[in-house]
Amino acid sequence: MKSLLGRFVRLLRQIWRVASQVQRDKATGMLEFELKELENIFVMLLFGSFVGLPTPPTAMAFELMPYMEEEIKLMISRADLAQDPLGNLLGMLEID
Amino acid sequence: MTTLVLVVALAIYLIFYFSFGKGLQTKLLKSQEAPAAPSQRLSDGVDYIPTSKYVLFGHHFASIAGAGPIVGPAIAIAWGWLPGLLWIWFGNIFIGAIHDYLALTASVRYDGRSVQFVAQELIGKKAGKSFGWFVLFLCFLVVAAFGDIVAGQFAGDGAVASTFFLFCASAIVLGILMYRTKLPMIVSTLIGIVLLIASFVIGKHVGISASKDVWFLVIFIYIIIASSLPVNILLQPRDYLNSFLLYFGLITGAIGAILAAKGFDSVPVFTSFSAKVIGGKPSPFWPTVPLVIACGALSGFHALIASGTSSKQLRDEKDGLFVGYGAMLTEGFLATISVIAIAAFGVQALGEGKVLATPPLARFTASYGAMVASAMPFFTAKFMKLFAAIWVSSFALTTLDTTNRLGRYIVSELSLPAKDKRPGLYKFFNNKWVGSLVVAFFGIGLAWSGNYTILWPAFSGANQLIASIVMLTVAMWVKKELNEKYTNLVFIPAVFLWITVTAAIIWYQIAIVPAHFADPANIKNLITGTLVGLMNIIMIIINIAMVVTFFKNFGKDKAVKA
Repeated sequence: MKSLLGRFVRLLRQIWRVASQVQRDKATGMLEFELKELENIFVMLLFGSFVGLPTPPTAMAFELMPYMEEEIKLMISRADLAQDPLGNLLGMLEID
Repeated sequence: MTTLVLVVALAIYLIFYFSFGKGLQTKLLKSQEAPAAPSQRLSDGVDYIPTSKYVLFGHHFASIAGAGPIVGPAIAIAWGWLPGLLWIWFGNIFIGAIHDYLALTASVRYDGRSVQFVAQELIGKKAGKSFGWFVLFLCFLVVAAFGDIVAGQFAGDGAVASTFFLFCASAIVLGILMYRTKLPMIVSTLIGIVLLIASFVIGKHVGISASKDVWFLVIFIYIIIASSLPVNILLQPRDYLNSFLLYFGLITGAIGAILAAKGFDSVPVFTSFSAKVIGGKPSPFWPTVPLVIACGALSGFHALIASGTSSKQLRDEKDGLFVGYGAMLTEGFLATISVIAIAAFGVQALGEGKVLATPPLARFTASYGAMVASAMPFFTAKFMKLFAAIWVSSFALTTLDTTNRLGRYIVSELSLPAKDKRPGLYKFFNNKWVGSLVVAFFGIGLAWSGNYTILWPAFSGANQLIASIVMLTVAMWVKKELNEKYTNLVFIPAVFLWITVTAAIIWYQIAIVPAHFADPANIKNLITGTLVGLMNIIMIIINIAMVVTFFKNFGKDKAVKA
């Protein structure tokens, strides 16, 4: 009986955790998407020379490079998925 | 009867999930032998993030379930309660859920790329390009159909309008609490929910009375502003609050349907094969049903959602059954509740002989209110009717401004070729306010000139065309990349859907559009007929060209590489 009750409490906890996670993601999903886009634009401004864009002074860009690991990862990911912006947008926006 | 239908629906869904769905997973897709999902192989913490299947289900379901599964069945009840219910169940199991599940899995096998990319790889560039055009027309038609729904709701009951604007104010306050203060999220959420309840209580007593035309103007201004504002001000917190409306509506609806235990005495089992459904004209159940019941049975948008983000977060391919197939069946369950409410409580809510004479959405909101109140008397029918109206309106308005955002982006993309030749023109269309204005102008202009019983089928047609292209794409994928032996399992529903949707759009073009030109003095009708007619013709041409390409490549041994 005790173990059954314990299992039930664990199940309830798990349900709560999932629901809470879903709601947290729902509260921040679009903001995260927008932040990613802004970071992507920022890294493009700094290291646009990789794709032929005019850039700020190289020395300044290289000085910032060690701090840009995450942003560069993001830029590479965006470059890979840029063929398919519609899917990305529709996955985020809720139209139904 | 309400209990019986709900139990039958649940039984059908569970049986098919564990038999048909599992069969697809183990025999056709062989997901148990599949390599690691892209979320594991390509995990980057940016787009590819392995996520628990339960959390992903929550995301996916909240993304695909909007006003669609409520509005469509409410319109389709004009054929009687059984035809619509059968289409919801069978369309859901044999087309909609397969469509969502296979689109999701195909995307997983293509490293999380969208179904548009998969279509381009397997069928050819034409299929990929078709998506862009269909989505653009969808943007106009979605804004039109949903704009008319919302304006009608606001004009019909001033309390809905005042409650909605108080709801928006609550969302803005919630946004400030969540993103600009250090309050724990649970505290902000509780304050948000209290404000949401207060919106209902206050809004019920403070109605805003205005004509439908005034509401069109208000909605026009609202969607331009809402779609141009930073997302953290209104869109994000409002969507967050919306999800609570969805859960509350779904749970109270299910409890109401089970506990009410009432017969289906409000609507006949079957009225006639050609009931007056679309634009008040006799509409044959086949092929026009997919123009009426869109999201409750199947929806092309779902494939784009599934393959846009969900496929990049699936921890294991096996989870696709729960997320793709399961979420679609859950949406079918929501559509079933919509039918149950009207069929059982229509007379109680609206009066004898008035159910089918009442506009579709008013049918649903009043019946739903009566159903929940009869099962749970601490909710009054009047309050639950207001809740249902807000539920539909808030989802419809969310759809309106998110669609406007998407349309803005597409307008900007389409103006790209003018960048070098006419930089001024490109700059003009690239302006976010201009982009918003273009979509809102066409969409709300259409809503003002027509009405949603005409516009909803046009939107559904474009949406279901996307679904048919996705189904053909996955049929091609099954034949060329998986196991030819199982091709017909997808190919037959795909062809059936394609024929049905194409026939329905052609029927719409022949039976509904010309009536708009009967009176040359009626400017509104001329606008609706011209715009919707043109969009339909373009969609039919693209659709046929795409299908010719499909059959050219279907016989070949190898997939075409675009």
